[in-house]
Amino acid sequence: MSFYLRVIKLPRWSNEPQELAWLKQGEIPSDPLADLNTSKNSLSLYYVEDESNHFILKHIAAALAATRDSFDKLDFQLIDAQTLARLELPLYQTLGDTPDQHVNSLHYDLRELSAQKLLKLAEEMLPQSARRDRISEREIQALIQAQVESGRIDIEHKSVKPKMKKSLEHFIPRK
Amino acid sequence: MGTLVDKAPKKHILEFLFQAQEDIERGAKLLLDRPIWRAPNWTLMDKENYSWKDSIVESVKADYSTLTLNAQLLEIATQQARQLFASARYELFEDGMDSAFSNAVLSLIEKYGEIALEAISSLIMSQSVATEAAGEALKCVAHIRDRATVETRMRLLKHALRHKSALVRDSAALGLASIDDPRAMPDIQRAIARESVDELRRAMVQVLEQLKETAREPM
Repeated sequence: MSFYLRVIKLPRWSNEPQELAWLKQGEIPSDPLADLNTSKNSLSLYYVEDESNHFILKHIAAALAATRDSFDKLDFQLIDAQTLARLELPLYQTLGDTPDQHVNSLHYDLRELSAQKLLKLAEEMLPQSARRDRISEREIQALIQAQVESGRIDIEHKSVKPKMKKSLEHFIPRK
Repeated sequence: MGTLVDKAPKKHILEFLFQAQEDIERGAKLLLDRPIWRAPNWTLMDKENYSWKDSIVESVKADYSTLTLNAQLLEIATQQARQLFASARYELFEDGMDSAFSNAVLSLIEKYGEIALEAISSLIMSQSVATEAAGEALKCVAHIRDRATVETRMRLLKHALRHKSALVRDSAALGLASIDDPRAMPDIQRAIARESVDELRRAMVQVLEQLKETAREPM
């Protein structure tokens, strides 16, 4: 089964039931929507052919985390392709904006998203806690450094911020 | 030659000392709760049966002076921190991204040191600030590269593991992972045992595994 990865913040999706006692039947909390912020009614996702392929998952995570100011953990959720098909959400392959060209080729836009469709997507994602995971700050740092050393992550790419670039400069392989 | 205390009216000294204590209790209850701030000589006072020595009186005066200064600084730092949290009330923060709020929190800590950490801690634990901002502030606290304040910062983060909000507890655990000091392991273990949110408990187990790994690494 294939999946699409969306970066999230785990605590926005996981609350204690008593904290949400105010919700009425069939309602979901609004905090998860903060992780589904759209631009031009599109949502950015990365394609993962197989969720057990940790290699590609970590490549995507490293590439996305390299576009930040500093090393930090990365939380994500995998959304299965069937769910997107069932919700009739159209996917378009577009080039991603990370310093890893291969990861950029895995980028998709979920387009033509109405607020209603976005809510439906959040409703589908919320109960799937097993599809949410975290890569620790320590691992993210090691992954980015390894990708820089291997040349997969190009720190000269426009998506790499100056502060991150400075942290990574001494990992660039010498020619 | 008599001592300073013999010459000074005991009533006056008593008034001074008990006024000092009152001021501190009123202005800096938090400070008194923290052993590091508590003046050691207060216990030497006995209202009913006192015997004074110059050194004790001078020491008490010096402690009082430091404590009142710290209490004033705490008040100022708390006021500034409260304003910062208020300005970030509806702000959303993304992992690994700097923000005006995080920069301001770091400046406050740089300016007031451990006193700012006390102020931030008390505001977060009073549950009166937005949880997203509280989580972001804890992240700043963890990322400071200053060995001198590591004990205070760890204490603050350990304390926040008991916060009502899952987001704040998560940030506290992540902060302890950032500091990466295996001495936090017992607190993380207790937090795991208490944690009622499955995903957060899994994340805390990840932190514990990291700290265990660090403990196994050669010094």
